[in-house]
Amino acid sequence: MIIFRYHFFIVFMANILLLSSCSLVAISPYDSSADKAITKLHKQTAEFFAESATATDEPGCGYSHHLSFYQNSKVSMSSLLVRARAMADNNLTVSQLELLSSSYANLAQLHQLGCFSPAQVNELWTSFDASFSAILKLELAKRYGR
Amino acid sequence: MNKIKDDLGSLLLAEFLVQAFPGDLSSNHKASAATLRLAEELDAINAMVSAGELSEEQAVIHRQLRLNAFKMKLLAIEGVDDIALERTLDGMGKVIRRFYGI
Repeated sequence: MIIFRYHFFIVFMANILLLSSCSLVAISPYDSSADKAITKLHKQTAEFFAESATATDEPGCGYSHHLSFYQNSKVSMSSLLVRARAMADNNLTVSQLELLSSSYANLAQLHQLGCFSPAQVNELWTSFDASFSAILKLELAKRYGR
Repeated sequence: MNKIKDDLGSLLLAEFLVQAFPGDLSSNHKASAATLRLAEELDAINAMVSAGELSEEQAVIHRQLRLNAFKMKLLAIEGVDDIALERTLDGMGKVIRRFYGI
């Protein structure tokens, strides 16, 4: 009987909830290609840091010696951003990728100042790992959170 | 009726998880933990500058990289929260629709 008494209220609340779920929650679906591309880029970056940790003498440690890494990462970031921007309701991932792209630019800028010391490599590696973890966390939540 | 019970069961389970593991699932807690970690990381960079391992110019870029990683973490927390909310609302909608046979 109570249910019938509050029938209109329940229907009203249900409508509000359904409408709010449409307007407030808008997250793009899981993109397996992006997931693979991000994982690949992470592997390339980890390889770069592993190499940088061992090569501390000129010219092997210099920026010019690693130019191909910076070019490849720039190309990968560009294609990831284009794909992410093409998907609807993907603002959070786009913002994350823009920040990662900016991090690669910062990394190149830092490398142009001189070779990385082992302590610096450690610091940079941790920072990039945290960035990739955050991006993959959101991408995997799209897959398994639904 | 069984379907309604199943949906209600999953909603109750989700609520139970939130109540049982507030430290793990609460986004506020996660954000404040990330902020605390950022403060520690910035302190570590300052210590490297003091020890002469980094110049001030290098330290500025290291700080920027840490800030970028921190912002990405916050965005991930926001996205995971949105997905959880979407799932909860979807579950509630299903329960209500089945109850009224819509």
